[in-house]
Amino acid sequence: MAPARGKHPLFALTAMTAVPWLIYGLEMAANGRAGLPPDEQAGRPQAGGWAGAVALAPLVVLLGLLAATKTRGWRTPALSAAAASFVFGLVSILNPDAPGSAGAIWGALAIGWSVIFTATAVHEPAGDQ
Amino acid sequence: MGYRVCLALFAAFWLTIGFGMIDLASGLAAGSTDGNDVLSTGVLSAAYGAIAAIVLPAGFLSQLRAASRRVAALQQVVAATFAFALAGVLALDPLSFISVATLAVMLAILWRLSPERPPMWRPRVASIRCSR
Repeated sequence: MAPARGKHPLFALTAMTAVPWLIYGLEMAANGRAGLPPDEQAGRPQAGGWAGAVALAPLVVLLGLLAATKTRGWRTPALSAAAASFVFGLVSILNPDAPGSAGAIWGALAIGWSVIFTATAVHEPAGDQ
Repeated sequence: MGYRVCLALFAAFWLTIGFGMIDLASGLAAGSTDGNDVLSTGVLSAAYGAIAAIVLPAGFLSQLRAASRRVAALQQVVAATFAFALAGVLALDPLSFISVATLAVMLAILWRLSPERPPMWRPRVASIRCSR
């Protein structure tokens, strides 16, 4: 896929994905508050279950914005956001009816976004990396 | 030296004890639902796994090359801390705050050990110019 063009392509791509991610995050948070199954895995002291999905949603957006600011080392958050979105999209396609899944269509869109975001980040001038 | 060891240990922590690899793998294993999709944790595990096995290790390990030139990598860890805190509040999940506390301790240790503190940690001293 061709990289996005424009003055601030990474910011534009992040803004494009922010609304679906935030809606997804709020929906997962509501499921968590309602105590819907599957329950939290027993015996683990970390976030997981619904909360893990809630955390991923704003994190992808935050990493995209962090990359767009072109702080030193910005390619790390750029590629991390793309990889996280890719994994989420792939798993959603593999398990379209499982709890937390975005479904096959949104999963494919998440993968498409991650590919375009990666291509754009790679083509952007590295600056002071 | 201690800084680099901590970076490697913290990355390894999230990959292993932090359930990063196992959650990511369980999510990616096709057919893990066993036909009972309602009880499947595949996607939820993978969502957490993406953070614990990709975002956090990438943030820590990319610091190994040049700490002062990779400030965005540590900002990435700070962003993950904030995301866990937000998830804890929104989903009413107290376990998320254990992740927040763990990351806060790790960031504090790195701040203490950092050989050349990146600009994120160092307050800028404004140069005051007198116009006299």
